[in-house]
Amino acid sequence: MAIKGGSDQFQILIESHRGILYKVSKCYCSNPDDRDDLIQEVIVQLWRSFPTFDESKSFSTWMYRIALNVAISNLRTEKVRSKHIVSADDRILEAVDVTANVSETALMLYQLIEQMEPLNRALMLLFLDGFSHREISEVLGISETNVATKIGRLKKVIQQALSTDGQGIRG
Amino acid sequence: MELDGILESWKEQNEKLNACIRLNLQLISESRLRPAKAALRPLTFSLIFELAMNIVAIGLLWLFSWTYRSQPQFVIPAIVLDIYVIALNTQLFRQILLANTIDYSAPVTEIQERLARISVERVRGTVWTFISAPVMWSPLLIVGLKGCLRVDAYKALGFTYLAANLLVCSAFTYVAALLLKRNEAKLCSYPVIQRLARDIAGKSLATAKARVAEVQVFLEGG
Repeated sequence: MAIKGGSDQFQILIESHRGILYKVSKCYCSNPDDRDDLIQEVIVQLWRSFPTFDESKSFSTWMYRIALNVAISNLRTEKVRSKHIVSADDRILEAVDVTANVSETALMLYQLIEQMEPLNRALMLLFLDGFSHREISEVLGISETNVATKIGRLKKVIQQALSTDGQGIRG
Repeated sequence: MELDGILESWKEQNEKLNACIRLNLQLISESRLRPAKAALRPLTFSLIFELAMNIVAIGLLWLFSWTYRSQPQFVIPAIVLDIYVIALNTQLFRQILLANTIDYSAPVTEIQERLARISVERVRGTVWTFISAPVMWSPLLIVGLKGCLRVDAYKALGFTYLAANLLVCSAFTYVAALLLKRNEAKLCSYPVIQRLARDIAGKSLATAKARVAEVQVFLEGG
Protein backbone atom coordinates (compact mmCIF):
# COMPACT_ATOMS: atom_id res chain seq x y z
CA MET A 1 0.00 0.00 0.00
CA ALA A 2 1.48 3.35 -1.03
CA ILE A 3 1.82 5.94 1.69
CA LYS A 4 -0.59 8.93 1.81
CA GLY A 5 2.51 10.88 2.71
CA GLY A 6 2.61 14.28 4.25
CA SER A 7 5.79 16.21 4.79
CA ASP A 8 5.55 15.79 8.60
CA GLN A 9 5.56 12.03 8.34
CA PHE A 10 8.43 12.25 5.87
CA GLN A 11 10.47 14.41 8.24
CA ILE A 12 9.81 12.10 11.18
CA LEU A 13 10.96 9.08 9.19
CA ILE A 14 14.04 10.83 7.84
CA GLU A 15 14.91 12.13 11.29
CA SER A 16 14.67 8.68 12.84
CA HIS A 17 16.88 7.23 10.11
CA ARG A 18 19.41 10.09 9.94
CA GLY A 19 22.25 7.70 10.68
CA ILE A 20 21.84 6.21 7.19
CA LEU A 21 22.44 9.65 5.65
CA TYR A 22 25.59 10.07 7.71
CA LYS A 23 26.99 6.63 6.94
CA VAL A 24 26.24 6.68 3.22
CA SER A 25 27.66 10.19 2.77
CA LYS A 26 30.78 9.28 4.76
CA CYS A 27 31.36 6.12 2.76
CA TYR A 28 30.80 7.67 -0.68
CA CYS A 29 32.13 11.20 -0.32
CA SER A 30 35.75 11.76 0.54
CA ASN A 31 35.38 15.55 0.67
CA PRO A 32 33.39 16.70 3.74
CA ASP A 33 32.18 19.81 1.86
CA ASP A 34 30.59 17.62 -0.80
CA ARG A 35 28.77 15.47 1.75
CA ASP A 36 26.10 18.08 2.33
CA ASP A 37 25.39 18.22 -1.41
CA LEU A 38 25.09 14.45 -1.46
CA ILE A 39 22.75 14.42 1.56
CA GLN A 40 20.65 17.10 -0.11
CA GLU A 41 20.40 15.08 -3.31
CA VAL A 42 19.46 11.97 -1.35
CA ILE A 43 16.70 13.85 0.50
CA VAL A 44 15.35 15.30 -2.76
CA GLN A 45 15.16 11.82 -4.27
CA LEU A 46 13.61 10.40 -1.08
CA TRP A 47 10.96 13.10 -1.12
CA ARG A 48 10.20 12.51 -4.81
CA SER A 49 9.86 8.77 -4.30
CA PHE A 50 8.02 9.05 -0.97
CA PRO A 51 4.49 8.92 -2.46
CA THR A 52 5.28 5.48 -3.86
CA PHE A 53 6.78 4.14 -0.62
CA ASP A 54 4.94 1.02 0.48
CA GLU A 55 4.16 1.38 4.21
CA SER A 56 4.01 -2.38 4.66
CA LYS A 57 7.74 -2.56 3.86
CA SER A 58 10.77 -1.47 5.82
CA PHE A 59 11.58 2.23 5.57
CA SER A 60 15.29 1.70 6.22
CA THR A 61 15.57 -0.78 3.32
CA TRP A 62 13.77 1.65 1.01
CA MET A 63 15.87 4.57 2.23
CA TYR A 64 19.11 2.64 1.78
CA ARG A 65 18.15 1.79 -1.82
CA ILE A 66 17.65 5.42 -2.74
CA ALA A 67 20.59 6.73 -0.73
CA LEU A 68 22.97 4.17 -2.24
CA ASN A 69 21.72 4.75 -5.78
CA VAL A 70 22.17 8.51 -5.46
CA ALA A 71 25.55 8.16 -3.74
CA ILE A 72 26.98 5.80 -6.37
CA SER A 73 25.67 7.98 -9.22
CA ASN A 74 27.12 11.02 -7.47
CA LEU A 75 30.46 9.28 -7.10
CA ARG A 76 30.61 8.80 -10.89
CA THR A 77 30.03 12.50 -11.55
CA GLU A 78 32.04 13.85 -8.60
CA LYS A 79 35.09 14.63 -10.71
CA VAL A 80 33.30 17.10 -12.99
CA ARG A 81 31.30 18.88 -10.30
CA SER A 82 32.35 22.29 -9.09
CA LYS A 83 33.78 22.43 -5.62
CA HIS A 84 32.39 24.79 -3.01
CA ILE A 85 32.41 25.24 0.72
CA VAL A 86 29.19 24.84 2.71
CA SER A 87 28.97 26.96 5.86
CA ALA A 88 28.16 25.21 9.14
CA ASP A 89 24.76 26.99 9.37
CA ASP A 90 23.74 25.65 5.97
CA ARG A 91 24.48 22.03 6.71
CA ILE A 92 21.53 19.65 6.63
CA LEU A 93 23.22 17.11 8.84
CA GLU A 94 24.70 18.82 11.85
CA ALA A 95 27.25 16.66 13.57
CA VAL A 96 28.12 17.41 17.17
CA ASP A 97 31.53 16.07 18.02
CA VAL A 98 31.13 12.95 15.90
CA THR A 99 34.86 12.34 15.57
CA ALA A 100 35.25 12.16 19.35
CA ASN A 101 32.58 9.47 19.46
CA VAL A 102 33.91 7.30 16.62
CA SER A 103 35.67 4.23 17.94
CA GLU A 104 38.89 2.93 16.46
CA THR A 105 37.01 -0.08 15.11
CA ALA A 106 34.51 2.13 13.31
CA LEU A 107 37.34 4.25 11.89
CA MET A 108 39.08 1.13 10.62
CA LEU A 109 35.84 -0.08 9.05
CA TYR A 110 35.21 3.27 7.36
CA GLN A 111 38.77 3.20 5.98
CA LEU A 112 38.22 -0.33 4.74
CA ILE A 113 34.93 0.63 3.07
CA GLU A 114 36.53 3.62 1.32
CA GLN A 115 38.98 1.28 -0.40
CA MET A 116 36.23 -0.90 -1.84
CA GLU A 117 34.41 -0.75 -5.16
CA PRO A 118 31.16 1.27 -4.94
CA LEU A 119 28.85 -1.77 -5.04
CA ASN A 120 30.90 -3.66 -2.45
CA ARG A 121 30.76 -0.58 -0.20
CA ALA A 122 26.97 -0.83 -0.34
CA LEU A 123 27.10 -4.52 0.55
CA MET A 124 29.51 -3.89 3.42
CA LEU A 125 27.34 -1.10 4.87
CA LEU A 126 24.22 -3.24 4.74
CA PHE A 127 26.06 -6.19 6.26
CA LEU A 128 27.44 -4.09 9.11
CA ASP A 129 24.01 -2.61 9.76
CA GLY A 130 22.69 -6.11 10.35
CA PHE A 131 20.38 -6.52 7.36
CA SER A 132 19.38 -10.09 6.50
CA HIS A 133 20.54 -11.74 3.27
CA ARG A 134 17.03 -11.37 1.87
CA GLU A 135 16.94 -7.63 2.66
CA ILE A 136 20.39 -7.10 1.17
CA SER A 137 19.36 -8.97 -1.98
CA GLU A 138 16.28 -6.71 -2.26
CA VAL A 139 18.30 -3.52 -1.87
CA LEU A 140 21.07 -4.53 -4.26
CA GLY A 141 19.04 -6.57 -6.74
CA ILE A 142 21.16 -9.70 -6.53
CA SER A 143 20.27 -13.24 -5.48
CA GLU A 144 20.45 -14.34 -1.84
CA THR A 145 23.04 -16.97 -2.79
CA ASN A 146 25.13 -14.23 -4.34
CA VAL A 147 24.76 -12.13 -1.17
CA ALA A 148 25.88 -15.08 0.97
CA THR A 149 28.95 -15.67 -1.23
CA LYS A 150 29.91 -12.01 -1.19
CA ILE A 151 29.42 -11.70 2.56
CA GLY A 152 31.66 -14.72 3.03
CA ARG A 153 34.35 -12.86 1.09
CA LEU A 154 33.74 -9.64 3.03
CA LYS A 155 34.22 -11.44 6.32
CA LYS A 156 37.61 -12.64 5.10
CA VAL A 157 38.53 -9.10 4.06
CA ILE A 158 37.54 -7.78 7.48
CA GLN A 159 39.48 -10.51 9.24
CA GLN A 160 42.54 -9.81 7.09
CA ALA A 161 42.28 -6.14 7.94
CA LEU A 162 41.94 -7.06 11.60
CA SER A 163 45.02 -9.22 11.52
CA THR A 164 46.99 -6.41 9.82
CA ASP A 165 45.74 -3.58 12.03
CA GLY A 166 44.78 -5.79 14.93
CA GLN A 167 47.16 -4.11 17.33
CA GLY A 168 45.24 -0.87 17.10
CA ILE A 169 41.72 -2.25 17.26
CA ARG A 170 40.20 -2.50 20.68
CA GLY A 171 36.57 -1.72 19.91
CA MET B 1 38.82 -8.61 18.11
CA GLU B 2 36.62 -11.23 16.42
CA LEU B 3 34.04 -10.53 13.72
CA ASP B 4 31.14 -10.71 16.18
CA GLY B 5 32.86 -8.10 18.31
CA ILE B 6 33.28 -5.91 15.24
CA LEU B 7 29.56 -6.12 14.46
CA GLU B 8 28.68 -5.38 18.08
CA SER B 9 31.03 -2.41 18.06
CA TRP B 10 29.41 -1.10 14.84
CA LYS B 11 25.98 -1.43 16.47
CA GLU B 12 27.14 0.55 19.50
CA GLN B 13 28.62 3.10 17.15
CA ASN B 14 25.25 3.51 15.42
CA GLU B 15 23.60 4.27 18.75
CA LYS B 16 26.24 6.89 19.58
CA LEU B 17 25.90 8.34 16.09
CA ASN B 18 22.19 8.97 16.48
CA ALA B 19 22.92 10.89 19.66
CA CYS B 20 25.50 13.21 18.13
CA ILE B 21 23.99 14.05 14.74
CA ARG B 22 20.98 16.21 14.12
CA LEU B 23 19.06 16.96 10.95
CA ASN B 24 18.37 20.57 10.12
CA LEU B 25 14.64 20.11 9.57
CA GLN B 26 14.23 23.75 8.62
CA LEU B 27 16.48 23.21 5.60
CA ILE B 28 14.70 20.02 4.64
CA SER B 29 11.29 21.67 4.64
CA GLU B 30 12.45 24.72 2.70
CA SER B 31 11.80 24.68 -0.99
CA ARG B 32 15.47 25.45 -1.60
CA LEU B 33 16.04 21.73 -1.51
CA ARG B 34 14.05 21.26 -4.66
CA PRO B 35 16.46 22.92 -7.11
CA ALA B 36 19.33 20.88 -5.69
CA LYS B 37 21.55 19.56 -8.40
CA ALA B 38 20.79 15.92 -8.87
CA ALA B 39 23.55 13.92 -10.54
CA LEU B 40 21.74 13.70 -13.84
CA ARG B 41 19.86 16.95 -13.96
CA PRO B 42 22.47 19.24 -15.60
CA LEU B 43 22.82 16.67 -18.36
CA THR B 44 19.06 16.58 -18.85
CA PHE B 45 18.71 20.38 -19.01
CA SER B 46 21.41 20.67 -21.65
CA LEU B 47 19.79 17.84 -23.60
CA ILE B 48 16.36 19.51 -23.47
CA PHE B 49 17.85 22.78 -24.73
CA GLU B 50 19.59 20.94 -27.55
CA LEU B 51 16.38 19.09 -28.38
CA ALA B 52 14.41 22.36 -28.54
CA MET B 53 17.01 23.97 -30.83
CA ASN B 54 16.95 20.94 -33.11
CA ILE B 55 13.14 21.03 -33.32
CA VAL B 56 13.38 24.67 -34.44
CA ALA B 57 16.00 23.63 -37.02
CA ILE B 58 13.76 20.82 -38.31
CA GLY B 59 10.89 23.30 -38.72
CA LEU B 60 13.08 25.79 -40.59
CA LEU B 61 14.42 23.06 -42.87
CA TRP B 62 10.88 21.91 -43.68
CA LEU B 63 9.96 25.50 -44.52
CA PHE B 64 13.06 25.82 -46.70
CA SER B 65 12.33 22.55 -48.52
CA TRP B 66 8.76 23.65 -49.21
CA THR B 67 9.85 27.09 -50.47
CA TYR B 68 12.44 25.64 -52.89
CA ARG B 69 10.53 22.44 -53.68
CA SER B 70 10.99 22.94 -57.44
CA GLN B 71 14.80 23.27 -57.13
CA PRO B 72 16.34 19.88 -56.23
CA GLN B 73 19.85 21.38 -55.87
CA PHE B 74 18.54 23.10 -52.71
CA VAL B 75 15.91 20.60 -51.58
CA ILE B 76 18.33 17.63 -51.50
CA PRO B 77 20.88 19.28 -49.14
CA ALA B 78 17.95 20.46 -46.96
CA ILE B 79 16.54 16.92 -46.77
CA VAL B 80 20.00 15.51 -45.95
CA LEU B 81 20.32 18.07 -43.13
CA ASP B 82 16.79 17.32 -41.97
CA ILE B 83 17.47 13.58 -41.73
CA TYR B 84 20.69 14.34 -39.83
CA VAL B 85 18.93 16.61 -37.31
CA ILE B 86 16.05 14.13 -36.90
CA ALA B 87 18.60 11.37 -36.20
CA LEU B 88 20.30 13.62 -33.62
CA ASN B 89 16.98 14.42 -32.01
CA THR B 90 15.90 10.80 -31.81
CA GLN B 91 19.11 10.02 -29.98
CA LEU B 92 18.70 13.03 -27.65
CA PHE B 93 15.07 12.21 -26.95
CA ARG B 94 16.06 8.66 -26.03
CA GLN B 95 18.69 9.94 -23.61
CA ILE B 96 16.23 12.35 -21.97
CA LEU B 97 13.64 9.61 -21.65
CA LEU B 98 16.16 7.21 -20.11
CA ALA B 99 17.45 9.86 -17.71
CA ASN B 100 14.03 11.01 -16.56
CA THR B 101 12.42 7.66 -16.00
CA ILE B 102 14.93 6.51 -13.43
CA ASP B 103 13.31 5.28 -10.25
CA TYR B 104 15.98 5.59 -7.56
CA SER B 105 14.02 3.29 -5.29
CA ALA B 106 14.69 0.38 -7.66
CA PRO B 107 17.47 -2.11 -6.78
CA VAL B 108 20.96 -0.63 -6.86
CA THR B 109 22.44 -2.89 -9.54
CA GLU B 110 19.47 -2.27 -11.86
CA ILE B 111 19.80 1.52 -11.60
CA GLN B 112 23.59 1.56 -11.82
CA GLU B 113 23.57 -0.65 -14.92
CA ARG B 114 20.98 1.63 -16.51
CA LEU B 115 23.00 4.77 -15.68
CA ALA B 116 26.14 3.19 -17.09
CA ARG B 117 24.29 2.33 -20.32
CA ILE B 118 23.06 5.93 -20.58
CA SER B 119 26.69 7.06 -20.32
CA VAL B 120 27.71 4.65 -23.08
CA GLU B 121 24.94 6.04 -25.32
CA ARG B 122 25.85 9.63 -24.53
CA VAL B 123 29.52 9.11 -25.38
CA ARG B 124 28.72 7.22 -28.59
CA GLY B 125 26.35 10.05 -29.56
CA THR B 126 29.00 12.71 -28.94
CA VAL B 127 31.62 10.86 -30.97
CA TRP B 128 29.15 10.19 -33.81
CA THR B 129 28.16 13.88 -33.91
CA PHE B 130 31.79 15.00 -33.86
CA ILE B 131 32.73 12.74 -36.76
CA SER B 132 29.62 13.29 -38.88
CA ALA B 133 29.24 17.06 -38.41
CA PRO B 134 31.90 18.09 -41.00
CA VAL B 135 30.11 16.09 -43.70
CA MET B 136 27.08 18.25 -43.01
CA TRP B 137 29.00 21.50 -43.43
CA SER B 138 28.59 21.77 -47.22
CA PRO B 139 24.79 21.13 -47.22
CA LEU B 140 24.54 23.64 -44.35
CA LEU B 141 26.48 26.23 -46.38
CA ILE B 142 24.20 25.70 -49.41
CA VAL B 143 20.99 25.87 -47.37
CA GLY B 144 22.22 28.66 -45.08
CA LEU B 145 23.35 30.97 -47.88
CA LYS B 146 20.16 30.44 -49.82
CA GLY B 147 17.83 30.60 -46.84
CA CYS B 148 19.38 33.60 -45.07
CA LEU B 149 21.01 35.65 -47.85
CA ARG B 150 19.24 34.33 -50.98
CA VAL B 151 22.67 33.46 -52.38
CA ASP B 152 23.08 30.44 -54.67
CA ALA B 153 26.18 28.73 -53.27
CA TYR B 154 26.65 26.67 -56.48
CA LYS B 155 27.00 29.84 -58.55
CA ALA B 156 28.69 32.04 -55.97
CA LEU B 157 31.25 29.53 -54.71
CA GLY B 158 31.28 26.78 -57.30
CA PHE B 159 31.06 23.01 -56.94
CA THR B 160 34.86 22.64 -56.55
CA TYR B 161 34.85 25.04 -53.60
CA LEU B 162 32.01 23.12 -51.92
CA ALA B 163 33.80 19.79 -52.44
CA ALA B 164 37.06 21.28 -51.15
CA ASN B 165 35.19 22.63 -48.15
CA LEU B 166 34.02 19.15 -47.28
CA LEU B 167 37.57 17.81 -47.49
CA VAL B 168 39.03 20.65 -45.43
CA CYS B 169 36.35 20.24 -42.74
CA SER B 170 36.96 16.50 -42.56
CA ALA B 171 40.71 17.10 -42.28
CA PHE B 172 40.11 19.74 -39.60
CA THR B 173 37.97 17.28 -37.61
CA TYR B 174 40.68 14.63 -37.88
CA VAL B 175 43.37 17.08 -36.66
CA ALA B 176 41.09 18.35 -33.86
CA ALA B 177 40.41 14.77 -32.74
CA LEU B 178 44.14 14.06 -32.77
CA LEU B 179 44.91 17.20 -30.74
CA LEU B 180 42.14 16.44 -28.24
CA LYS B 181 43.42 12.88 -27.82
CA ARG B 182 47.03 13.98 -27.30
CA ASN B 183 46.28 16.95 -25.03
CA GLU B 184 43.39 15.48 -23.08
CA ALA B 185 45.34 15.57 -19.81
CA LYS B 186 46.28 19.26 -20.25
CA LEU B 187 42.70 20.41 -20.75
CA CYS B 188 41.61 19.76 -17.20
CA SER B 189 40.81 23.42 -16.43
CA TYR B 190 38.05 23.48 -19.05
CA PRO B 191 35.49 20.86 -17.98
CA VAL B 192 33.44 20.98 -21.21
CA ILE B 193 36.50 20.61 -23.46
CA GLN B 194 38.00 18.04 -21.15
CA ARG B 195 34.81 16.01 -21.31
CA LEU B 196 34.77 16.27 -25.11
CA ALA B 197 38.45 15.32 -25.20
CA ARG B 198 37.81 12.29 -23.00
CA ASP B 199 34.88 11.30 -25.22
CA ILE B 200 36.92 11.65 -28.43
CA ALA B 201 39.94 9.92 -26.91
CA GLY B 202 37.69 6.98 -26.06
CA LYS B 203 38.39 7.25 -22.33
CA SER B 204 34.78 8.09 -21.40
CA LEU B 205 33.50 5.17 -23.42
CA ALA B 206 36.02 2.84 -21.79
CA THR B 207 35.01 4.13 -18.33
CA ALA B 208 31.29 3.77 -19.08
CA LYS B 209 31.80 0.26 -20.47
CA ALA B 210 33.89 -0.63 -17.41
CA ARG B 211 30.97 0.50 -15.22
CA VAL B 212 28.55 -1.75 -17.13
CA ALA B 213 31.02 -4.62 -16.78
CA GLU B 214 31.52 -3.89 -13.06
CA VAL B 215 27.78 -4.15 -12.41
CA GLN B 216 27.53 -7.34 -14.47
CA VAL B 217 30.41 -8.94 -12.59
CA PHE B 218 28.75 -7.98 -9.31
CA LEU B 219 25.45 -9.47 -10.50
CA GLU B 220 27.13 -12.69 -11.52
CA GLY B 221 28.75 -13.10 -8.14
CA GLY B 222 32.26 -12.06 -9.12
